[in-house]
Amino acid sequence: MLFIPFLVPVISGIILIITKNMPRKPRCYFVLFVLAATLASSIASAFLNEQFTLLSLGDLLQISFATDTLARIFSVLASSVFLICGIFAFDYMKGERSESTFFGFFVIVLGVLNALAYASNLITMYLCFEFVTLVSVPLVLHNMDKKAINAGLKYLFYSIVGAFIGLFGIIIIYGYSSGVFIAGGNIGESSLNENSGLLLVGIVLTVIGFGTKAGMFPMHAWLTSAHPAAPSPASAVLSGLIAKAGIIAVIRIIYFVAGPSLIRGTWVQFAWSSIALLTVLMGSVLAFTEKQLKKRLAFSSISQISYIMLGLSMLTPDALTGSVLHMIFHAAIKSGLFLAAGAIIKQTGTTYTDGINGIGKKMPYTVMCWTFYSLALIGIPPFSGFVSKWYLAIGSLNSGLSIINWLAPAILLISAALTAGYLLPLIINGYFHSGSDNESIYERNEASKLMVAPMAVLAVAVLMLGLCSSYLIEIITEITGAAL
Amino acid sequence: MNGSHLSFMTEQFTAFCVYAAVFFPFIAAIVSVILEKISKKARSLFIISASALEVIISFLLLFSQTETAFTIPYVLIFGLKFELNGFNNIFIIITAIMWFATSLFSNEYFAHYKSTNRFFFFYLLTLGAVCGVFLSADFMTLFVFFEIMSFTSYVWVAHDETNNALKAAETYLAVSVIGGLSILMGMFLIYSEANTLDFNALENFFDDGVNGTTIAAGLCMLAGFGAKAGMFPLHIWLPKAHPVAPAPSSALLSGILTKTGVYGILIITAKIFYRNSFWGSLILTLGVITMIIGALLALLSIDLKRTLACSSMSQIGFILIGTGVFGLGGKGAIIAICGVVLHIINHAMFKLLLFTAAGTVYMNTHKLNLNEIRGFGNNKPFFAVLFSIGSLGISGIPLLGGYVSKTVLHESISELSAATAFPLYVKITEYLFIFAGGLTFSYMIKLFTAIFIDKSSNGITDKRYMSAITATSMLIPSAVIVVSGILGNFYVRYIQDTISSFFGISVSEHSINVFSAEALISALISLVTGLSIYLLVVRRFMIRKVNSDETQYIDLLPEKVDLETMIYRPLISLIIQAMSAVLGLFNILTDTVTAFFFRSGIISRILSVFNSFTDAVVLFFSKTGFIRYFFNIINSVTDYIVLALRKTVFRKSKPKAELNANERASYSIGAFLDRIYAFFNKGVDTRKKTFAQTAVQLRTVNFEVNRMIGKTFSFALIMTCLGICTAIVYILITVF
Repeated sequence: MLFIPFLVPVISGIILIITKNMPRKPRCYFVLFVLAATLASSIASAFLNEQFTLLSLGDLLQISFATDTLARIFSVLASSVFLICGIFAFDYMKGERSESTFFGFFVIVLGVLNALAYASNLITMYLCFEFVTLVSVPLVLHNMDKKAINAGLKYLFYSIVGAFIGLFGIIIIYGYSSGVFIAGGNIGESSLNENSGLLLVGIVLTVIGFGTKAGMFPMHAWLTSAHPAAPSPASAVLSGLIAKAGIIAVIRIIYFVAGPSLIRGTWVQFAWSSIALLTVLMGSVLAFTEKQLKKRLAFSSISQISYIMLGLSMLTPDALTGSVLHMIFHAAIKSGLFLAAGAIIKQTGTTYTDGINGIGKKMPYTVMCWTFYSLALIGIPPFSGFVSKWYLAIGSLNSGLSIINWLAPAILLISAALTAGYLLPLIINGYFHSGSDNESIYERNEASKLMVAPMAVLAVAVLMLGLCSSYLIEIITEITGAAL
Repeated sequence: MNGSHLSFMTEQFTAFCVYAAVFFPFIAAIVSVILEKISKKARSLFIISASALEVIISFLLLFSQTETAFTIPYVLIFGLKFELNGFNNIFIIITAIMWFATSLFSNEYFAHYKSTNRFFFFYLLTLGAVCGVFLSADFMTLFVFFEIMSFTSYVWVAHDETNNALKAAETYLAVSVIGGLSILMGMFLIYSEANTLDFNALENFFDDGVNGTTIAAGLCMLAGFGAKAGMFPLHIWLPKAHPVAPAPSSALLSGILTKTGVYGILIITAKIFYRNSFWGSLILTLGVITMIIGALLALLSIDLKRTLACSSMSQIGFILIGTGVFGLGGKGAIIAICGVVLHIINHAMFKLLLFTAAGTVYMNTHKLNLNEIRGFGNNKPFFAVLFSIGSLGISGIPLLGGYVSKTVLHESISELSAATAFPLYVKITEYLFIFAGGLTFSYMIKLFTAIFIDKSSNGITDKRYMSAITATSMLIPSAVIVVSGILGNFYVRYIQDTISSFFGISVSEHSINVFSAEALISALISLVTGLSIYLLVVRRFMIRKVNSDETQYIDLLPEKVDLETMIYRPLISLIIQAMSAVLGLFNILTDTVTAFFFRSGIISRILSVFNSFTDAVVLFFSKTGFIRYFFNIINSVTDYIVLALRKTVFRKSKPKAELNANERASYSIGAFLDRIYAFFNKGVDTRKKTFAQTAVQLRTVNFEVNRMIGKTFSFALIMTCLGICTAIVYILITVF
């Protein structure tokens, strides 16, 4: 049962790539069926408690998968967001080159992400992590113009270097543990005491390395080239989920292998949280000054994903809860924002934020969805972003780190103010500016229903996830309770 | 409460009413949008009846059992917690009445407006949010509804979609967002300190004093709530937003939305900082500054709605003074809180009345400048009576509402002066209080004279200037003002009884007599001050003669503040005026001093500096790209390293021979194809490129891409090798 969520998409993706000449309509139904089946199977596996080994190369090298709470959350999240973005892509990709290849790789990425979620030891996770990079590069390369190729290569370069830096860390950690994920850590007491210096170096390497995927300073630069180059549904999952692969890797290493007690109070925790804070501020300041729509959202992702990193670095139950919540919420919000940006770009042909004054009167539903996502990302209650930020801030205040403990909430809020500054003007100018200099961009009106519906679903989701977050928090408490 | 509850007000029914008060408007908002599609008239009727229902609910709550708490679990983080007590019930009643009256008025006001649908949708949403703020039992719930309110009321300000409106709305939104985040920071700190956000639990927790963190939290929250209330120096949105918003929303912004900020400050003061002398005197001082600056700005303004907006700021100052006195504790506390509540009620009613009147003027003339609307009220006695009830009430004429609340506030200050360690400070506060009351009277005379007594310059002769419904919406607050003024003592006693249980203070022994001789005398002093300010200052320096029988109001607030108008000119005129003052005799002293102040425009300039100080700071940061450059550099560091690597390690090597050989092969295939093409097309060539060229180009691109990918992988491999080497070296070191 457990292999269905990742085997089905991978195989059907390969089929899609091979059968390039399938007519459009059957292909869309096929993709829809695959995505829906994946979601159904990952929800079904969420109720199972299963474990299986795919391949065994001796005791130390086992490719094995298992279910736990974190895996369930991430797998269901990935499958649902992919379903929504996939439906959006049907109309968005109409008339683009090699649709079939796009959907093929799109579906494969989902399969690999599910595999990453269910990976039950370090080696399996590392393998899946590399695969995520390799199968997602074609999504960035898709347009095959000079910009896309450069962006694709940059993405590949950063990801592989990052993963290798992470690999050094994994090798070091592997020396002292079996690499199997056990909540709370899997390193013996004696090695913790004797070799903490070396282990800490390993932790830093893994955090920096896997932080590349999550867009953490100093390896964040790929995000801002890859996102504008990729088609919008691809940017949506790139920012919403693929970047979260880095987060999953870091959670696994810190909370399931190394154990939080190893780095609590050390220079590593201090350095990690400072870098995360710097990234939060940097992302939002640059997003504030950026004029290009998708690039602005990419900078925003850098900032928001570092919120999650910041929460992970605090090592308190509240902050971890906040991080997992923000991972979920940000996936929904940022995918929504990229879809909306895609709809706006597709309908108006402009990629810049100025020059689309009055857009709200022409595309009311799209801009209304954008409003919902913006309020959620800023963290206005009762939208979802507020709940995660609350836990992140309370977690940091109780972390016991000097200076960072109060600096973190302050910077979170400054960043929230900047977020308001770079997201709200589009709504204000969209709804309240009646005139525009360039009338020609309004020849076309609202995006098609097949594009608006997925955005609306996400918009309702970002509100409801916030209102009903108590249920989510109960589930997450299982992770925090075991890991801390 | 008064112990009088109706038998059907069981706990369940009360809970139902509380939820209805908060959530019914949200549902009604959606219904109104749907109804609009059917008929506009039905929508208008629906909105009026919805707000009427809200009034009924709010009065029903008055008869419920005391102190009831309700929780909706599982929503957001701690669930939504509501509490009903005498104190917040008063706020709910005012809110409902305000909304009912404005819904009557907006019917006529918006008759010729576009996109009213949007306005009414957000109008009802805000009603629910405001009720939520007042009924909340913990900071989380309060904050949730406070934020909803801030964002929904933004739409009111921006409604006209003119440039001015958008600019003002931008200021309002910026203040709201930053204020909201500031409150959130305060909540973080409080929660990390006390581990709860319930008002009652906080009261117990902070019973024995507060520490530095709590003070910091309090200041953060004060900034947020103060910004909404229009407290100095965060009042910048008030004078901008009111003139551009539609009149019904100005009335609500000024009458209720600013009060949510005050309510927040009251809650902090009562539950966290009660009897903290630092906190009490801070609020008191800010209150005094706000009161004076607001009143002076109102006196200087020549725009009807701007005057009323600045007046709101000044009245908020009065309320904050009461809050400060309450926060200091002691015998004056219960009197102060009573005065605060009374003044909140009265001010809401005055502003409802006056802004509706201003709206009526605007509806007929489409202007707000005093010079352009002067004489509008000639021959409109009914309108004049209503307007004068509002303006006399706010100035504190005995037998009207404003007198009662101001007297009670004054009483509390004099109670404080008996008990304080700084009697001089309190004395000055008391004098400034009376002086500000005088200023209020003088700017209201200015407005009244301009509208009703001055002769109309452009002959406005509109017979039917308002409908009966609009008149009703103005009669409601007038009735409240008159009745509460006449039944002064009874009214004070009732409010005191109603609110005392929430604050846990026993009602003071001696009851306040608002019609005592002392109170009447101080009111008289205040009024005489106001009248003399009007006659000596306004008449002389703020009105200019244009020709023999025409005069004009002068706008003393400069549009732009630059070095010349701010420093050089005042300096020169200051020297001249100072010399004339020194050389003059004592009998012209008063005249000279006032002339000096108002001719040189010093006060107005200082006020403008204060007014634009926050703007200037924001401008500085946004104009200098300093932060951006810093982050740009950090952002591109890694890119530069990659670039350097590309230029050095991965620089383009020139494997010429290999490339040529390949090109030759592709070229020959292409050339072969070309020949075939030429053969079949009989030498007619319409192509842009020959096959040979295409083939070579394809080959080159392919080669480049392959090489780039190869390089990337080879770099990764180099890294792996380095890693393995490091590992081996490490193993060697540890083993040997």
